[in-house]
Amino acid sequence: MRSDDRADDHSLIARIARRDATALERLYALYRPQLWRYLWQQLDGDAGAVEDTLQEVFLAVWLAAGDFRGEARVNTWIFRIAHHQLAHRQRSAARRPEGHLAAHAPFGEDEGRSDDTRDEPAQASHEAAVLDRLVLAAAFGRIAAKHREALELVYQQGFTLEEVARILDVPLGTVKSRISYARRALQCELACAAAAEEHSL
Amino acid sequence: MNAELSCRQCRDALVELTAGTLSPADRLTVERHLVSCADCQRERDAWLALGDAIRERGQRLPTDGGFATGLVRLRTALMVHDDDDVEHLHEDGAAMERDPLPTAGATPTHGRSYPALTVTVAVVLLSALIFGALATRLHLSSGPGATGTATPTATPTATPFASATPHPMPPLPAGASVVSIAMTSASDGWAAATAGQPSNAILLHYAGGRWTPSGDTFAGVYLTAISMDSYDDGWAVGAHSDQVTGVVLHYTGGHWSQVQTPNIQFAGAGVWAFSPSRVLVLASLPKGQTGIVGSALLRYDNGAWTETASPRGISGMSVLSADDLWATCFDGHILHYQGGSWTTYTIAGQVSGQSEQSLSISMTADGAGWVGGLSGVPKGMFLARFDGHAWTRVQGPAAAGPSDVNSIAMVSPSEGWAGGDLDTSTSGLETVLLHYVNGQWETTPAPYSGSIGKIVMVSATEGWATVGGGDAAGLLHYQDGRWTPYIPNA
Repeated sequence: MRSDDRADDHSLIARIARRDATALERLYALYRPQLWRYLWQQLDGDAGAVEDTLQEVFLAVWLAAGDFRGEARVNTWIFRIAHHQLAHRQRSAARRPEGHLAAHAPFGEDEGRSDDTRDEPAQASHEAAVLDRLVLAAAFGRIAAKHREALELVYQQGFTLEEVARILDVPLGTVKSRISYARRALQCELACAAAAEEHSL
Repeated sequence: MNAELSCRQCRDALVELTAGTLSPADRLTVERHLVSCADCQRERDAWLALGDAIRERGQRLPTDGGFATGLVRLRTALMVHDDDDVEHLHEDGAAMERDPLPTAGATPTHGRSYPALTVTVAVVLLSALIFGALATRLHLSSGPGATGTATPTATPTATPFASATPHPMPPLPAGASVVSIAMTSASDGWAAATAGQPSNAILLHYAGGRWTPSGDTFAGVYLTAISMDSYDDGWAVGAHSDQVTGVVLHYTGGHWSQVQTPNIQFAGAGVWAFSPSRVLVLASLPKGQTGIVGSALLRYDNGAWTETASPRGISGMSVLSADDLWATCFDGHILHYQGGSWTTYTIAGQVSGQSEQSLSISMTADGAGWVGGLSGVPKGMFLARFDGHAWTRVQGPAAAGPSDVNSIAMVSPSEGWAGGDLDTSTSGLETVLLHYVNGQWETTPAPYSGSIGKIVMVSATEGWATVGGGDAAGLLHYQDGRWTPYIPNA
């Protein structure tokens, strides 16, 4: 058990594996708030879809608890389940556009390769000043969902990059590149917004 | 990570540095590099700004108001799922496909199919339909005496969920904050609540499986306790907003109305109804010159009030009869009032200077009893047991942590419930529910976050508890081995 895991999470999973429904309810009470925030953002605020996916996540926990080996943190495992349920939902539904970036992004994604060797845009030092919240919110909605998800798992949910890799079921390098692309895409969106504003003046 | 970092290594660590997930040792190494590298500092500042913006974006999400509904749906879905499971076992003699997910710690596999997920999604959709139909059915058919345990598909004892019990909606009137409950039976009872701003006192009647406002409202009044001596007669107490003008309400003839109170400053803290003309009120008295809250017993008997002073400030009482009662004190002592005199007990095992407070007491028919409370320094759960002769402190379950016990309710000498809260720095007040069974206290998961205020058990299989705080206070209902939340509508 990881030392930073919640003290009773592993015992809850063990009880769930023995079909102890009260343990599942306890896990639901513990993890619903965190999962709800994650799903709300991944599902673009579709409350019905969020509730349905939460149900699927906890039902999957109920089914898979016996296979939990305790090598990962419980919250990493649950988020991995949530990510799989999201992927399943997205495969089943009509695929929605993943944001404009995929169509016109100036840089394609090279999965599995970290982006360290690329030159960062010159506007990096300019970024802090440009990160206006409203503009960023709009820009956030336009970047690829999988890039946004990686950023949210790191900065909102507090997972390490290795844990994000485990949750998303991708190599560590892919997580790094997704995050790097996410920032670059945001920079691009913000720079475009700033340029459009200047043009309108 | 090496002591000497290249810029590339440093930038590789900036995401986790700014996310706060870097190990302390790596953090030191990275920060050492940053001190002397302006380019990496700019990179760090950029990641910091991005991280702050993303975190702030997360904080601006709407509030999740679907906890209770989601829990009921989950129970229903599980129940249906387990039935489905039983059928598979029966037909095939082997468990159905149970592994829709990669095993934790396993090598990631791509393109894996998860056939059970299709089953799961179908079950969720099916359960939603069943839940809707079942809720409607219960709403239409339940009446006095009904407990709403009928389910269309499951045998209660066949699953861990004894009863799905989807409650008719709305479970509680919007804005109601329940502070005390008094049940006359499993199917009839009353709750004292507050609603609105500024606060008004309202009374909720439980009948036919739902809580309904009585229509009697008392402006500027805070109720603290309610007690029913029969289904058509009861009492409630509290105070006006000045907290020294006591309020006593009497339910008779189908309405609640104020009763003239004794000419002293007090706030009603507890009430025990014996008959339409006899009631016992625990009164909190204003702080005297000592700065300590005092208490008194106020007895109403056929229209006249009499006052009995208490030697200590009382935090909770267990009333066996009008002249035989036990009380917990804010200073950690226990009082026994019998035959017109008070006896003070100390609790063995208390450590001097630990600022323990006994908040709730429940005595049982065999002359034994329990108190629960809180221990200030060091922080810890406070439980003590009376064996008929002496009070002794008892260790609470380790899993409950340093919880406060606000309420304790014994069903019998061998079974009871205690509730309170655990103050966590990360997620606020976590509900603490303890079940005394098989000679020890065990933690029980609670289906709602918040503080348990008061537990009232009607029987070993039926009970209620107030939960939450402020505007979010509601009720938990215990029935057939399960606690279910009744939370006010938003």
